[in-house]
Amino acid sequence: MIRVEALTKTFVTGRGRQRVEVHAVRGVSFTAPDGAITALLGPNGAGKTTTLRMLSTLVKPDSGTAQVGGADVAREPTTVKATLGVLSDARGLYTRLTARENIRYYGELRGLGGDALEARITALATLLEFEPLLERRTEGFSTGEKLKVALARALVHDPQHVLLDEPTNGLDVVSARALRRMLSRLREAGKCLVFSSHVMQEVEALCERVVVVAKGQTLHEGTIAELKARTAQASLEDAFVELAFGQGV
Amino acid sequence: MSQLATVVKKEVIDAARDRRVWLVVLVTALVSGPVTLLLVSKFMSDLKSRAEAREVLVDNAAAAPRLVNFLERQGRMVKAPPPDVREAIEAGRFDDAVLVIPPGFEDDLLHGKLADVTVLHDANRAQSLTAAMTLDRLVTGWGQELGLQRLLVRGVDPALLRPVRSTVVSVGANRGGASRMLFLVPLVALVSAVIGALAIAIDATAGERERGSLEPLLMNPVSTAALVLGKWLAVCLASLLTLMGTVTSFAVAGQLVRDEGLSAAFQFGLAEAGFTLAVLGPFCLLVSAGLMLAALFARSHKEAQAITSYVVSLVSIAPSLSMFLSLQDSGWQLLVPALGQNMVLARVFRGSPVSGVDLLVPAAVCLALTALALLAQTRLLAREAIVFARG
Repeated sequence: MIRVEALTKTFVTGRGRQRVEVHAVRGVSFTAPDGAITALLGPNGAGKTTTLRMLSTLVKPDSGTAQVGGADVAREPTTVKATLGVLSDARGLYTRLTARENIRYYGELRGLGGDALEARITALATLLEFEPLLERRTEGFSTGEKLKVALARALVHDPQHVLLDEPTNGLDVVSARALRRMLSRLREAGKCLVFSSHVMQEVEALCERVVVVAKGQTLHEGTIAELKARTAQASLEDAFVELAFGQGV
Repeated sequence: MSQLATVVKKEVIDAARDRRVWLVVLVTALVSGPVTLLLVSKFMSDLKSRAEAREVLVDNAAAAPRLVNFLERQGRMVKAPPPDVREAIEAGRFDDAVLVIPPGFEDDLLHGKLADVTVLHDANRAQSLTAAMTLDRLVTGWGQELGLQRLLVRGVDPALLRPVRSTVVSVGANRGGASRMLFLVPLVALVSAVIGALAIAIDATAGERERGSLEPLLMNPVSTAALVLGKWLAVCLASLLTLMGTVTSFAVAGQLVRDEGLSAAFQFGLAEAGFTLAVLGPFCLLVSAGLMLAALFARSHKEAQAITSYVVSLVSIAPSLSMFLSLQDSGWQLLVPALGQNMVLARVFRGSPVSGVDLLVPAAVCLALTALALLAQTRLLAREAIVFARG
């Protein structure tokens, strides 16, 4: 389970007169239970990516707390990282290494190895439908192929908690469907998934719970049905727009 | 420990598959020694052949039959210069010197007047200058012979003219000429250590940022120390390999040199190669850490190349600086990386005594700075501005 309470983060750029403060996150709270996919829904610049980065321990929160599987992200980053698999916005691969070598590198960094690791890599490639690419260098892979390798890399240690930052960006229909099947499978296995998106159909098709974030704050947390009921809108998109941007947009 | 090994293994495989790395390492290592030696040997043998050339160019030789006779007795072949030789020398088209005899030269001699000759040359050109000095020496020699004859005719002991005798003895270096050309080795070897490390250092730092692989990498429960150390060890390996290749290629080229003068001036054997490696080894460690630190500030390969080019220039300038400023061997140079290594190697090659301090101080400085550079990188990898800002 992931629990986020009143997280804030301000970025400062420049000095003196050119000092600019950007309040990226002003108070985000939500709970993501195990065995469910929780969507972080919000317009561009809402603070979704920063929230996920704080959960992945690479950005320190200014205030508020976040716990991943009971471990605090600020105080126990190593414990958090151990149970976390992250597909971030940056998903660069090593182009001179094969897909298998890319995934193996992360597995070995996490203390895995031997036949078990190789079997796990092959299983992930089969699930994500890129087995034929496994022994090829990743140079020249398509966006979808790269994403699959990056996802396999993030899941190599079978993490209990999975964060995905706009995973379907730039994917074609076939790849997006393969990704969705994978996420459903992870949910059935009892994993706790949080994924950020601004694609409504996807959220509707996949997620039980939505957290609407705008201007760095949580505006709604609950099921999709609750969100629709609250705004008296029939579609998720209308409900989201009304909540995030106000009426009449 | 296993994390460190994992990082080293990955970086080595990644680098070994990079053709640019191999190209640079091979070209630097294999070509630098022979090419440098080839250029030097060409230069030296040109000088030598000119110095020992049997031909001398004399303009208006008919006006000085006795001088021509002397030159021929010295085994020289007197030839007339091409027409318009003065213009040719002025224009830089003619790489030799010409002895010009004025009309009435023999008359002046017969009447006991001072007889003038001129040696035309271009002092900017080493070969022309050497030829001019040879001509000057020959004419002076003949003048002394004439003077001796005149004194003997008058019954004077020629020894009266030489009340003082000076003998030039070199005591500075007991290897003398054996090391004259060895100053080139540290010059090339220092740069080779940098060039060998460059591509991998950039790829392991700025490259990670540019391709967006740094952020996911840091999401693994791995210490930044293990990451930095692992990457650094891989870079060191490339730097050391390039250095070893360069030194080996110098040693092999030194063995293959046929030219007597050059092989006398370039006695670079196993002992010298070993010394070079021992002195420059710690420098490789520092160069690797320093280049990585510099490149970590860059968001792309391009930016990193711009930043690291300062390091490359500094290292290549250091040895020539000490040459042009005629820096004397002094303690403070030991404290400056590149300068210290260069000085110690120069002393070794000259055959001057080298103390333990001379060997240990530059190495200690390099190791201390290396530790600082590595520490700085582990701190930088915790900074949001480094992890998330991409090229």
